[in-house]
Amino acid sequence: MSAELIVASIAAALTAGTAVLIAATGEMLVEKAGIYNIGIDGMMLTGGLAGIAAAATTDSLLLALLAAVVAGALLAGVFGVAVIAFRADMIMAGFALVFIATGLCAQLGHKWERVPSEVRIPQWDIPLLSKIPYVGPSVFENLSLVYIALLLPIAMHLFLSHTRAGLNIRTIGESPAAADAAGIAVNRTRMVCILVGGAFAGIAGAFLTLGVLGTWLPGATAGQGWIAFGLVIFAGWRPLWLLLGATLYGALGTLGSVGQALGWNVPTEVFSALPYVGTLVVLVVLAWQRSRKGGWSAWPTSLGASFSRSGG
Amino acid sequence: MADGTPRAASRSLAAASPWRIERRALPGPVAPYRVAAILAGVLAALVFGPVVANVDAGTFYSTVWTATFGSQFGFSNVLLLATPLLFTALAACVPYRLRLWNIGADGQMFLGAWVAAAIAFSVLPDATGVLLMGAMIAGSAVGGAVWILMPALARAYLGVNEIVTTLMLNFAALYWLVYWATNPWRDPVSAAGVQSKAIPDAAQLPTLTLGLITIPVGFVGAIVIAALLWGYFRSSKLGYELRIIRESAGAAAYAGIPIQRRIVGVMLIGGALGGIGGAIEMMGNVYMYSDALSSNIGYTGIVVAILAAGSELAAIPIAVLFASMVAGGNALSTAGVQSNLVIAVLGFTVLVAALGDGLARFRLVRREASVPADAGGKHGSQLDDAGERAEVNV
Repeated sequence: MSAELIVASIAAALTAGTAVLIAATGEMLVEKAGIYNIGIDGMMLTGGLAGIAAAATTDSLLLALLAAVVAGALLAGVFGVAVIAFRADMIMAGFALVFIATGLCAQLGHKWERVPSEVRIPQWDIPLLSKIPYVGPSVFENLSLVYIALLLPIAMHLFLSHTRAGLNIRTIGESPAAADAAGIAVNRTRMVCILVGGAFAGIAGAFLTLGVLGTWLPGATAGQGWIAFGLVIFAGWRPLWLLLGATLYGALGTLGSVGQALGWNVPTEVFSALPYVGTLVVLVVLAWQRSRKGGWSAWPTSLGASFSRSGG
Repeated sequence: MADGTPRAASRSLAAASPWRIERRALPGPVAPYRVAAILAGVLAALVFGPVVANVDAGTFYSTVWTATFGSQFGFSNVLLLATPLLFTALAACVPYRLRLWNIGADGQMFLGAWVAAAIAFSVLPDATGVLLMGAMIAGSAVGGAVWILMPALARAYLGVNEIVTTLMLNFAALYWLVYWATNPWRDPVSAAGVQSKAIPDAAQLPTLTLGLITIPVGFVGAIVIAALLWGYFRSSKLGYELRIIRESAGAAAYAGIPIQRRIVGVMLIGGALGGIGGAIEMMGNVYMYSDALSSNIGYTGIVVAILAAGSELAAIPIAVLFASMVAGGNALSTAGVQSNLVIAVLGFTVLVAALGDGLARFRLVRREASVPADAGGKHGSQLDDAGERAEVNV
């Protein structure tokens, strides 16, 4: 296995894991506040299409990313109103997002389907660091969003563990009633978290369309939103572990091209299925390990419990 | 305070009207809200359809009507589309009895059809008639059940979220299908698309005809299975146990009901139903092992199960209704409309149904001088004593 191949594979693995990393970091925040939004895939699609559409009409990357953020947050807002104001079932509302986004995006995006986007997320070669032999080209010559994505879980960790707002959010996730008694605005905070989570998913979608694919496809996410949901479980609700999970996922996704380069006699379908099967196996094995040891996960105890003062 | 403004708003609203919103001690029936959700979806499709599809209203309605209930061909086609949909709906309904989600019906269809195809191609190539078809369908049930086995065990014994695991296996099953359809079972004549050679004539299901309407045998089978399942869960000990587990896992455990085995059980039944759906679709419609076996039928089946509130019986008319939506969408797609738009309508109905689940926790009560003694039972009247605490801050 040549050095060039290893370098190229690491770079590809980082790129392949970036979208799920961004989306999962957003979902981590939402779940820490005690809400789970399984509609990540829908918000990613919406963000991805909004990014492409805004890029095509404005020729500005910044506006494209902004459109992705707003689109993801808007869809998340629908979810938020449903589960907070109406106390709708979180799983059903999450599903609804995926269906609505899948259908609408396929219809509205027809115009841009397979049309190459002029605006792309640019590559950044980090000065000095990219000159390091092997490490430089594999890590520090990547799409700009990749670096930001790698920093996101660290920022999320610092925010959740070391700020007052982060503590409030974690309190809500553990016990909404206690948080309310402590004077924290439970539902308002949850709504903000849901919107931020949607914005993250929107950016993740735009990374796929404007960064990886360079165009719009109705199946642009290929289920990565669901992987992101699994990634939060994998990480045991600890943000820093998302880095490991996303890298693993990216590596599984890159193995196919490595195998092709090395001439392995394995059907390509095996490699295509690997990220999904890998996610499943890792989740099961980890759960088995944790059931024997226990106590490792930072699972928010009130995850999935809606809140209103009058109880119920 | 998060709840300050809405609470104030609801209070002023309540002061102006003779009605007030009150929380129920237990969530009320969801069925009316599910019906409302379905009606809202149909209405939205009919009202906004021509606008979003960008075709004139006359063309829209006549196309949809002809493609669904307005012609014998259309209605036959609706029944053909409803057949796999009812199976995937049942695949989601049975686990839903324990509020478990089987998102993997697409994968179970692919695996069920794979076993059935393997039996037809390799295991019993010379068999015919009932023996062959029976073996294929039985095999497909096993295939679907095996495909959900790992998520079921992981859910029951390790608490691994079944939504993620069953969904991941859909993608794995798709690549499994692509491999078998394009390599070992490749169609030697036509190399186009992901499709195998045709299954033998002896493995193709017959159809019934009623006048000019064609009724697939698989559709009749699906209805019979749905009715049997519904009746069985309604009257059997197992059904009773499942209800107890759903209402209170603690009480169920105290009563000695093996909860974990029941979880595995309902999920395996769900997987088997998905597998049968795949075989039936292959034997009654597609006639080859192909990715055309499921175009989002598994996901649509989940929507049917949600709107049926998990009732296998209610799933029958809803599956037919949604199949007609898909048929309408397909007919319009020749007019340049993406049939995916139907998926958005399904999503809208699920959203309305989800809102309904929230609303079912409340009820409207007429504001009177004397509070009815039985308002929400004992718990409810305690809340009333606490004054405005019983009033809900939506």
